[in-house]
Amino acid sequence: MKASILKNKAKKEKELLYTILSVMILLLLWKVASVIVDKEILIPSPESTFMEIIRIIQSPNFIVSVMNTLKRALIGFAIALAAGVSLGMVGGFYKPSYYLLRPLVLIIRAAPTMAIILLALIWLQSEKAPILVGFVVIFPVLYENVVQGIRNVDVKLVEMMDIYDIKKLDRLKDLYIPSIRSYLNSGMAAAMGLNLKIIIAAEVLSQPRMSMGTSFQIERVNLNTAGVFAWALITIMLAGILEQGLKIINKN
Amino acid sequence: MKLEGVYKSFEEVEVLQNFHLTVKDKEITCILGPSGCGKSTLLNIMAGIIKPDVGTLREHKKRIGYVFQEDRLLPWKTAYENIQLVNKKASSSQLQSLIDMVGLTHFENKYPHQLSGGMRQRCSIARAFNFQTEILLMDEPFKSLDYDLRMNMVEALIDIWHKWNNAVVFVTHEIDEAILLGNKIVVLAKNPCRVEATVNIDVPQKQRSLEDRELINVRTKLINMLSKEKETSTYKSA
Ligand SMILES: Nc1ncnc2c1ncn2[C@@H]1O[C@H](COP(=O)(O)OP(=O)(O)O)[C@@H](O)[C@H]1O
Ligand SMILES: [Mg+2]
Repeated sequence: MKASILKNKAKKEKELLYTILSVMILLLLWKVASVIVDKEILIPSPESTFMEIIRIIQSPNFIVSVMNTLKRALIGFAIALAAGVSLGMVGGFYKPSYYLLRPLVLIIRAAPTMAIILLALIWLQSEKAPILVGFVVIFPVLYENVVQGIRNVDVKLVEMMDIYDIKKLDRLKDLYIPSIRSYLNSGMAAAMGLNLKIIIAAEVLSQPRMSMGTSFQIERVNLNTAGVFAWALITIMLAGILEQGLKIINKN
Repeated sequence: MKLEGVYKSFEEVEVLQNFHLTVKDKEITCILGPSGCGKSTLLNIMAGIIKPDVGTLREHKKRIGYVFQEDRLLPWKTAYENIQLVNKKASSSQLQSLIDMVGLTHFENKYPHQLSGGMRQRCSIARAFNFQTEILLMDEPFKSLDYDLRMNMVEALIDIWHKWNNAVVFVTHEIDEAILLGNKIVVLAKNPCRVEATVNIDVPQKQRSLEDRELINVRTKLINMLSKEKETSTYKSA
């Protein structure tokens, strides 16, 4: 036991070391590229990007912008999850409804994201449009995960439950939901990050008052490429935090 | 329960061909046979999990207990919860005594992946023992257990059987288990599966011991039968 814990710790330390090394190399390459190009407007240097991050974080609108975007991301995610789980269950348990829903899901999935953004802008206010876009992109992912979780439930366990006369509700609780969860866990983390990116992209076009997407647009209009880089890094960090948060929730 | 003229094949391979078997109420019927001869298929048909291609199942019982060849535990539930699953009315002291009976004391809060193969198997036996039925099917239930544990489990099964006064169909390829448990021992042969011989033992299970003259005779008979079967099957395949 003890030895394996120690070994595990050593492995973790090694992983961390490699990650740090890799980040250093990327920073170095970035620096080299910015020196070679030598135009801040094309490739800003890591230092000026870092200074921009500090400036953005200290600016009075920062928290509000991030919160507005975060709120959209979480609302959109919650709606997509609720719809994905409920429709996914219907589709997973009843074959006919799966085939009825299939064309709709396929169309939603195949539609170009830009078309959806434009339509959402036509239909909804700029504050709400990004939520619809995020929903349309991640709903099919979550829905499909739930359907797969139900379809791929272990037949041997279903037979066991048939033999032991387990009631419908207990079957759902003790067999189907755990099976759905194991499929949904990985899908949810991916959907969370994707949702954030799509919502920010939609915000760039819809221009709601104070949001991360709007901030991207402001930096671009001002030809402040370092500012765009800085917001991109902030987005990456936020996506990481969201995914970790989701992992912690899933564990409990 | 009775199987009459049952046929079953999987993708052209005929496993059961005109198969007959009677399982009497309140008796332990042991089924001895080489692996791959169709014992699990037979139990699945009795349990109603698979349908025979032809043939009938008479005096079918609606409520059946089944210890599957694999443990079929829920991976996300502890040993205790897995046993509780099939009978929510069982009290915690009843559940604890089942856990003690199969020798899982102190392991009740472990998850299946934290238990050894033999422990998982015993957990699935305890689960079946928590579900009282008129007929209990058991598919090589003691296979991954060492000798002492196996003899304890034989005793535990006899106790449960006395208490429930039900029918047990016990599939094994251990001759000793069969002669300690069976009122009737059915020896199967392979390709297709058929009843090679039937042996009845009248000594009450509680009075049996492997040193008994009668049981030693039965064992010798069974060993001869099984080895003869091996010869004919090797002869056939040659
Ligand atoms: N679902 C199945 N599909 C195809 N073949 C099967 C299936 N179940 C059993 N068989 C075949 O039927 C034969 C008997 O299997 P089984 O009943 O498991 O034997 P036993 O339990 O006596 O070892 C084997 O040859 C096996 O390969
Ligand atoms: Mg088998």
